[in-house]
Amino acid sequence: MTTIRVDQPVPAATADLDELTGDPGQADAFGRDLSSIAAQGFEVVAERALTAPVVAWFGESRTAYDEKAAQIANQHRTLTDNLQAVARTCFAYADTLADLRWERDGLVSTHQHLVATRQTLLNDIAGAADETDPLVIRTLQDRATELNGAIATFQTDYADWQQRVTANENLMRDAFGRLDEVGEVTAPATVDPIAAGAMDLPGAPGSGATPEQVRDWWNGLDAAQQEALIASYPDVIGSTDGIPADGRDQANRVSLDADLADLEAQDAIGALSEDERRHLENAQATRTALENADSYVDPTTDEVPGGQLWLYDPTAHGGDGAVAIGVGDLDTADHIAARVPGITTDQGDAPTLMQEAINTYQSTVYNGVDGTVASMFWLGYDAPDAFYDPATASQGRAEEGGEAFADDIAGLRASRDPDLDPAHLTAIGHSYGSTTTAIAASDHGLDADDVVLLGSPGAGVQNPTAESLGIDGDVYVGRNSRDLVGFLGGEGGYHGVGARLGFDPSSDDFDAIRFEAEDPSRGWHRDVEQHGLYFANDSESLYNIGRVVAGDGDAVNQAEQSYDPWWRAPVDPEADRDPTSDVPGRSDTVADD
Amino acid sequence: MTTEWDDIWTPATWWGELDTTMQGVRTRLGNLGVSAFGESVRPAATTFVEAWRGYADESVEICAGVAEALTTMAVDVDRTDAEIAQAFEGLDGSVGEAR
Repeated sequence: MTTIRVDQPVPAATADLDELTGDPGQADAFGRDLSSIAAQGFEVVAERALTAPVVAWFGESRTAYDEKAAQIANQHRTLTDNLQAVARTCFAYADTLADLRWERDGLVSTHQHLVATRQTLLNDIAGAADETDPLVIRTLQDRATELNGAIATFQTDYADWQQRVTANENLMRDAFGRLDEVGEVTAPATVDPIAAGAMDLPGAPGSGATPEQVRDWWNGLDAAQQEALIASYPDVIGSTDGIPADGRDQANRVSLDADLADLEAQDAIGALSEDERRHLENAQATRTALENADSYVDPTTDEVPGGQLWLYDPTAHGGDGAVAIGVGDLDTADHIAARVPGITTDQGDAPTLMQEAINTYQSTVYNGVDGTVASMFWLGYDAPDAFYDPATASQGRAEEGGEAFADDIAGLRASRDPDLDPAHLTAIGHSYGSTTTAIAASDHGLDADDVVLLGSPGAGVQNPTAESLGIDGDVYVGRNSRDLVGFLGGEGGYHGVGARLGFDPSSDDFDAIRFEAEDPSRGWHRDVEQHGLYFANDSESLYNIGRVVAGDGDAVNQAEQSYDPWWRAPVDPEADRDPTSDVPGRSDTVADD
Repeated sequence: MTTEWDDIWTPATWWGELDTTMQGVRTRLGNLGVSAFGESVRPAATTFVEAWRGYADESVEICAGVAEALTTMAVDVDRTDAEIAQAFEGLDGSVGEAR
């Protein structure tokens, strides 16, 4: 007699899977209400108490008033901070609750499939009770083995999900519980003890750990510890190299939600300072960009790759802000594009930069790619403010930014699972960002496989050739012949040194791989408009960028390099070529409507 | 004591407005629903909201108390000012022939 073991999932009925109570949208709204109450109530009292009422009032009554006002201010300030801390936990709780809901839907679907598959198998086994054919019996055994394996995987996933539900609810419950007695609310907020404990473990941020050690620390934490850290230290978790992109994203979203709730509440009562208004505008621009990334649908798969807020610091660089947002999963993507923008860009430009990152993603997948893709813009440096900004004519910002970019890319690489193949990473520098990117490569060991320089005013004075960037892969260049900025680079030995930012990388002396980047809208003269078209859909430039990001550099449509004859002005052979748009294999980057 | 008493009315008004503001906060706290949270969280959320309504109540009392003290001072100063002015008006300050 042959025995075939068929396991049963636990619980046996799909209807008996744990329900998930609570509503992410309402929890988020609850957090916003708390933040608003703090900003429009307790904080207003604190601010008012700190404001001296009249100048010419002296005597015992004034002394008594000042002492009482200081006490009121201190306590209401503490109340404000503590309420804002609970609001942040609400945001973290709501984000996780949304993820858990989505995961539960998947578990329900899997469970239903397992139950149905199991019943079919049991029926088949019953029907084969008298079967003696060893092949039939073996087939049934194989099906049972496969089913048992799927059930075991489900049980593990379900148990993990249950643990995360418990951790999330404990986190929220503890945050409420810590602040429901007078002595607790009037003392400075205490950090969640689980989070504080995790920060004391070896490899934690701030301990001098390397990004790899930080990654191992993070991955060694359980769900409760990670959730507590995201709620308690969102600024640290959102910015530390080595934390996986998913963890950074969750933490930065908490910071973003907290900023928006607090600053919009203050704005509603006219209480924003000029700096705070800038802060709010940066946060609002980030929200818009992130919503665009979150809602983007990959046209080749009809799936939503999702956005990741990798860097968020809206008060950095004197109020210009620092931000990096990706579409796709930076933790697992086979191909990553990281674009560095240039002059005039700040955090307020996040929506435009995000759309261009999405365009890059789309061009890459639309024209074929082996593997998955993530496309990010990185504005982690202080780009010059304007064409007339003195900083534009020097390499100082590019050198600072190049070091920061190389460090962040190293951190991104280190944060990924070491068991995965390293991503094929393309660093894309546009405008002054091309100078930054080139210097990141030549001076700071930028760990990119390929580099693309677009509309470059120069690749840095230390880089006379593409080879000097020290990239293992290739250096590509896109220059529109009517791009005014693209002509600021030094043209070679005969005609000037350009705008002090090094050599024109489209030149034959530099010897990068130049690809087509003309646009049909070009006129007869050079202008700044053409400088902003490198990421336009159905453009030659975006097509070629997509091919490089896909690791298919051989497929770019090469353009003849510019050159500098001694007997006349520098020559750009692309100037006389007819540009294309929406031509398959040349400038088609998105499906036509 | 030295004071420009007209100025006392300004902070008295501020604190009176804060009294109103914190009454609004109390109402908003009372409107918060805890069904947003998982069942195991709701009791803690309810306790939390109730506690903070209490703190808002205390804040209302504090603001009202400061406003009342300042108002009392301003009224007293105004009354004393008027009484002294009247006293001066009633005072015969003349000497000699005019008296």
